[in-house]
Amino acid sequence: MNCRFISSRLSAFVDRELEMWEYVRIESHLAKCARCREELEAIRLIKQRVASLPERTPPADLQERLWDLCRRLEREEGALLPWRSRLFRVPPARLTVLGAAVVASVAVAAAVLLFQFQNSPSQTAGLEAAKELPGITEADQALDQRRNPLSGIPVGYSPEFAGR
Amino acid sequence: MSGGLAEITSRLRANKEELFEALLRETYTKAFHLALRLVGHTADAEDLVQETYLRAYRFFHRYDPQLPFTNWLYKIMTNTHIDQMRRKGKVKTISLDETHPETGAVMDFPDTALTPEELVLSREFEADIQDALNQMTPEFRIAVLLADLEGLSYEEVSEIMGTSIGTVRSRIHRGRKQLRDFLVKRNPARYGARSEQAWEGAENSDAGGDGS
Repeated sequence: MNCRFISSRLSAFVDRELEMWEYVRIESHLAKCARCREELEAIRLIKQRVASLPERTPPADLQERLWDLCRRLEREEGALLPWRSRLFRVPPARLTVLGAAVVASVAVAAAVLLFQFQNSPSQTAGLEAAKELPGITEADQALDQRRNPLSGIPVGYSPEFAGR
Repeated sequence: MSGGLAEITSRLRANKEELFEALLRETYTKAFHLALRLVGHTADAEDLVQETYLRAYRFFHRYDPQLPFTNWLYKIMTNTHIDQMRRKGKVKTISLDETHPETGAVMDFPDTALTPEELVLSREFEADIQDALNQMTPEFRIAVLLADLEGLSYEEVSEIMGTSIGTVRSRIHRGRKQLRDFLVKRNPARYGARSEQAWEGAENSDAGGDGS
């Protein structure tokens, strides 16, 4: 086991976060390697210095200010029971944005439909042209559509058209 | 029926408020301590603590009481800290003579039993270490502070940071190396000139463990 491997485990060694077999190997290496012992001490010192950073006293009114903010959040959003707030209480600002989004979507959809309707020459154009011819009824149009173009005999001829 | 339901709902909310207020009262001093060491400045620490508790309050319904509340709070705080660091996009320098932003009072030191010379030395050590912490990669700083300042196990740190234990081990070790390198560079006489050689092995051999 070389110094490089040992070095990478020394922090975990100091923190007692290794498997038992690793302790045994590292300890036996440390017993004969001054450089790794020195590094171990450096790590211990850094850990100790961070751990002993003094606790500063927070500002006297911090707790009160924090709680006031939470209470305000509760008043505005009903944060503690979110299922209730989502069902019954949508903030007015969000409602306005939501409403604007819906109106905009409907307007865009309507514009798209209108555009398609005006520019579509198929189906609708044929019907419009047929209506302009005198004496042609809807029943006549239906009959035309049913007639077999080869024989001239109406396909599926039925009595309802016989009297014409 | 609906009156009864409304009353229960209102009681539920009152209970939750009461519980959260009690948790806040019990934890805010510790939370401020960690926040101060994470950001290095009282005003920024207050911002971090404030944002942390607001998020905790908003997501209190997701808190699992089987876990320690502080661990859950630190998870929120460290995520908030990383978010804030990304927003700011830079590392702030700290002021050594911190004063309260409103009252102008100098912050208290609890170790008043020290002699004036010891107090000066203690303040210098603290300023050096805080400066070094400020220079660290945020993920390394968080891992080192959770382990050394809060005394948490690697498993707890990994839960808080949402990473594997191998990653935590690597971050703590490399974090301590960053700290020591900075201190040695700043004051070789005080912290020892030897740095690069002794830590050389740590740099690459553990890189595989940092799988985040």
